[in-house]
Amino acid sequence: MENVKRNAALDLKESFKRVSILVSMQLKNVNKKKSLSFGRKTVSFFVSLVLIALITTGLYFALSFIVNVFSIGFILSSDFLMVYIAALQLTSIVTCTGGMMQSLFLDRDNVLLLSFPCRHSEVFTSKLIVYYIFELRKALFGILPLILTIGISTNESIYSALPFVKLNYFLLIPIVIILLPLIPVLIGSLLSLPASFLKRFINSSPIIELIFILVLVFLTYGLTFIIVSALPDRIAVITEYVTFLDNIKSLFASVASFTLYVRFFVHMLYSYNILLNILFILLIVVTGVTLVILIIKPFYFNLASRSMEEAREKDHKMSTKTNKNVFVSFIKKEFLMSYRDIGKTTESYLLILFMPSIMILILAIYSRLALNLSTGPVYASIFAMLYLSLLSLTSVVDISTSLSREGTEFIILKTAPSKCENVTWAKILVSLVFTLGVLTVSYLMLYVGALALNIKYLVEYIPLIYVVSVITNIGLTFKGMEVDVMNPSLIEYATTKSTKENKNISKTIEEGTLLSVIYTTIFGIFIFSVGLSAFLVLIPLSIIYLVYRVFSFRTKLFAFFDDIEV
Amino acid sequence: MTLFQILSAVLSVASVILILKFVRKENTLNNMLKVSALLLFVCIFLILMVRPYDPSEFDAWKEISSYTVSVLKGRYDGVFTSKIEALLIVILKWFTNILLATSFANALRDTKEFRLYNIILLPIGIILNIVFFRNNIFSIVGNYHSREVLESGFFFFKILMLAILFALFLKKELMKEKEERFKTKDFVSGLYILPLLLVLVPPIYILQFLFGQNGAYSTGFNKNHLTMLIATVVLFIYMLLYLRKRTIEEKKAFLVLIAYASFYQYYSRYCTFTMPLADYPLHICNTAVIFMLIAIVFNVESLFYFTYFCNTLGALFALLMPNKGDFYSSSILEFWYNHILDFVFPFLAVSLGVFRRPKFKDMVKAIGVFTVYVIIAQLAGAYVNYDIDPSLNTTHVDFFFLYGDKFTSIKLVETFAYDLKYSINPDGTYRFVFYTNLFGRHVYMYLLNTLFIYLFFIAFSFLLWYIVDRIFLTIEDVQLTIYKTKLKKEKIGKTSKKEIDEILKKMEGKTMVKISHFSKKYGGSKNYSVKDFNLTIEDGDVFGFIGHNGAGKSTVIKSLVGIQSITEGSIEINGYDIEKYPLEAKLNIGYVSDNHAVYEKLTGREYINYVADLYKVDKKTRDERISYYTKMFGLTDALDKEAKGYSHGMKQKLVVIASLIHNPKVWVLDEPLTGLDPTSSYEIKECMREHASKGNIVFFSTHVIEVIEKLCNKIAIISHGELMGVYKIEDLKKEGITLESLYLKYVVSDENKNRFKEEDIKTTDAGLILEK
Repeated sequence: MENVKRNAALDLKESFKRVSILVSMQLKNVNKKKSLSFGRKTVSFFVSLVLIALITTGLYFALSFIVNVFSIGFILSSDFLMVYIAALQLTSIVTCTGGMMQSLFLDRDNVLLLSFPCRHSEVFTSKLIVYYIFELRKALFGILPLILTIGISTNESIYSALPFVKLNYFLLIPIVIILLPLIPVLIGSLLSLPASFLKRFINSSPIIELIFILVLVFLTYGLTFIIVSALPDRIAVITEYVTFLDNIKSLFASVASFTLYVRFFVHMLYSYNILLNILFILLIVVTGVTLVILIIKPFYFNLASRSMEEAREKDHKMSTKTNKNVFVSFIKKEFLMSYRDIGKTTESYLLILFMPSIMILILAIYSRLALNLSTGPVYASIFAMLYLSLLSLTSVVDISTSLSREGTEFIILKTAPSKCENVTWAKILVSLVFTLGVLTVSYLMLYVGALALNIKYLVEYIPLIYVVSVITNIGLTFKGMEVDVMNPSLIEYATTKSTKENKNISKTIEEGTLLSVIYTTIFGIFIFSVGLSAFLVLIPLSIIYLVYRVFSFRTKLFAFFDDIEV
Repeated sequence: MTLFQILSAVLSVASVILILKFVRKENTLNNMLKVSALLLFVCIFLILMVRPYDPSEFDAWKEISSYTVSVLKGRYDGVFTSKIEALLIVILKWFTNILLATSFANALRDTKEFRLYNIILLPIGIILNIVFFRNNIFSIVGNYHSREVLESGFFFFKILMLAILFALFLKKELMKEKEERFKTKDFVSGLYILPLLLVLVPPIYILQFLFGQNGAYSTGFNKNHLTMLIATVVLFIYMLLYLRKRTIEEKKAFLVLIAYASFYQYYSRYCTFTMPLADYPLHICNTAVIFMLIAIVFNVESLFYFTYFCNTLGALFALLMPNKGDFYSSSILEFWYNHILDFVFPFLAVSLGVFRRPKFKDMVKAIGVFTVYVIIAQLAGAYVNYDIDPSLNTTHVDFFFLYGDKFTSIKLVETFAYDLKYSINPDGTYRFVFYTNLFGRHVYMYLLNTLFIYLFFIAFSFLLWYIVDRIFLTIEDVQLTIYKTKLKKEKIGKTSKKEIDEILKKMEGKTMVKISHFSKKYGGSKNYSVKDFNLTIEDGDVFGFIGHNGAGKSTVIKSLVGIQSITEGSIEINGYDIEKYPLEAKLNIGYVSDNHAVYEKLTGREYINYVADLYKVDKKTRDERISYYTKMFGLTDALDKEAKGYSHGMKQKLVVIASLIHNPKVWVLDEPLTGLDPTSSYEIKECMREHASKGNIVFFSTHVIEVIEKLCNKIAIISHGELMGVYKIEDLKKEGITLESLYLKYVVSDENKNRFKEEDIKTTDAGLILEK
């Protein structure tokens, strides 16, 4: 019995060592830092403490200034603290769910970690700990300064009958900082399992993926209408400032009542039923840990190893058609690739797809602000022009990496006895079909929304802004392709399978931003004097831009395409 | 004649003789040129600086630049007796200014255009100045004889320095080889720059002197204002076109000239030594006249980039919002000279490549210098304006617009700008005015206003930098595109049907790959990756290609199949040059790359069909071949699944099938057996044998010597980019030489040979080598 106990203790010790090695290895891989000596670790610890102190001090002075100038004392209240922490927790839960799903079941490092002389449960535990450490860091720099600042600045308690005990407040902070980050990790782990099944289901077919994205877009669109209808008819921030502040305060109070477990933490800090709240917190943590061990842990190895096995792909319909025209072959291939990777294709259009929702919300708020009656709508139109053009013209970025995404397959084009530069025209054509389709749907949604919500000035301008956007987007598509012909990153893509580091994207975005600013400036100059006739300048300008881009692209294609080497 | 006049003549001649006789070494000559240029510059500077500030002391100076004088229009009532005399003296001054400018520039940077002025015209100028010595002095001092000696002294020194410079230029000319000496065409090229010189260094009062008052202001984009804006653009384009093909030295010489002109024109209007602080040139554009000169003469990058970022912006604002004043007056002309040259100089210097295009770190340094400038301007302004009520809209001095009301007069920001300066607290004090003691004076500063102007200026500097950088990028882009288009048009062969038929007739029945003197350099590298590579491969050959890692195997193969360009030499596939007739050449080639890349989202069949479309294979043929090869390689079941699910071997087989779909006459494979299991390797080797047996060429690279020995009939060995030899396997076997020993002989370096056994590294009979 003694031996069994001793072995168990030794085994636990060894297990603990293995887990800490795994954790440290994964952290080093993410942070890309060299291993630190004890001395350096100590220094690093104290530096972090100093940093937190500095952030807290800065926050204290900033908040004092803001509170005095804007009379918003409620940001030092418990309600605000609850809402703030709850908002951070919500984002943490979302990121942890996605992150845990990736880390537990899809990450390539599972190949390495599972091959080490460790138990699967130890690998699993190490991944959870790694995520907890990230959340802890976020809490230290994101939540702790605010908690400290509020503690220093306020004497207000939750209930007027209850005194605010600063000593309790500060003594209980460590519990908050240590236990609070654990909860999103546990929730994220629990949600990661259904999330991964959902992801598999969505990815099983391009049609399902597309439907899912469209449902999301339309849901957001619908939600926008709900939010807009809940807005007051008039938002007179300056003239009815006190009322405005009271409304915000009430909003925080009502939202705070929905903050679930965060309430326990904050009530505990404010010395309200301290022991009971601590008990609730521990209960939540223990329940979470138990559920994770019972539900997620058993599935871990099966799901993690499953993603590494050769996928049993279904057969595609056998194609027997041949194409005598090489250009048609190019187009067919581009469509097939885009369709089969619809998720990635749609990703690049997300901003345009959500644009109607964003625009309707912003402009609905703007139209409710108490503005000068004569110039208010004009300024609103200028803002609308800026936002719309920025959103429309900085989203055409996929094309600027389309040639790079050929990777080493570009060899086929180099060795083929055909005019392979025509592949660029095929890519442009396919991109335009998607881009113009998405733009049309988005602008239509925006138009319908503006009509329904009676945002008059927007309704007038939308069709014209649409025309300018479409023409310019075509030009930008040629620009994006041109940039890729001049700077193809074939090998980089072949190695990393990622276009994140590709500089062509920023070049295209830069041009889109510049055009947005130019259009808005011209629009702003003309709108005061000639109104809608400003588009008599903008439309020809966009056509000139398009013609220039086509000409430039053709010239560059002729001059540089053959020089591309793999 | 005066004493100074005589001294000028005598000492000038003496200097010329002494220098021509005793200066022999080129180094001494160059150093003397630089020192003389510096002394000349100091002399000119002192001449300009020691004039008393109060113009009333100098009646002649006042009259020569006053509004009542006009030589060409109406009356003249200046100090000279006649219009003709006045005109001659002014023309002489103009001429002398040109000689001073070109002497200064040429002494620092040699350029042939200035030779006309330095060799031919300079002695004429010296003589004329000596002859009209008294007239010149009279035009400056008039009836104020107390200053006559001082001015005569300066003038004498100026003539002497010019004479010394002339002697040095002449000596330098005589020291050159006959072919390099001054010629008639240098005379002509010197005349070409005369209009530029006339425009750059006229006497600052020239317009007023010739035409009197104009009466019109240059403001609000009127005719005069637009004229000067167009002149700015024209000057820039003219200088750019004129200088772009010159050497760096010549470009620098002209930039020195421009910087000198800017400096000279500014200081001929302002005499600083005797001025009160209020009139010191502490406006940002005034600093440019000093910085530009120092930057170009001493090649000081930090000052140059300060002018690039900060002075150009100030100049741009000034050009768009010019001073008011009579358009012909010397003050307005000086304004235009200062700002046009401030604006043009930095961009010209970068366009010509004299200074590189600035980076962010240069901007940071410029901001540092600008910060120091703003502090100095603020303190100087505070010190001078101490006695003016902050609420009043007046000022003694307005360095960098920190005290004046330039911004409150701009409609868009007038209220904001006003509040920044004049906001009042409830107790009646100014909210944003800061009071302090400065060198014994109780001064005040509009600190928030200063901060706003400072940040505004920096923001606009970034904006201007961005716009100018984009313009430079666009121009470079256009130039590169034009160059590449031209190159490509020269490269493409005209593939008329007749020419193709002729080639086909010559090649009837034959399949051949001919690599002649092929060399390849990558990018900007100085070293060749492959040098002078020659190889001929004939039909029916299974040709192995071996070499160490980095020997150049893939380079040769990629150039052979048209993936990479050829630096030197040529590659022909069945008579078609791969560069001139790429489409025809590639029709004959099938290629299997070393990385087996396939489109993972396509199925195997879709991938093969895609390749077949590119090679224009008809449906019946491709279906037959797909069926045949998929059975051979066992891919039938996987053919309609996406390639992303294929194993490494399956992907390789797929690429092999795609490369054979058009039955190429030349089949090129780059390390085709890497990472394959024995079955897959066997299948591909059988395929290679079969393909060659049909009279086609199979050319492949590999590291596996045993495969080559079993499969190939010929091999080529490459090492460090050079072909070591071509051998028949049969002959090697007859001689008892293993391929391994042959490889080690050529590939292993001498210092490593002691690691291998003697008998493994045998020499070969030279007769076995087929080609080298």
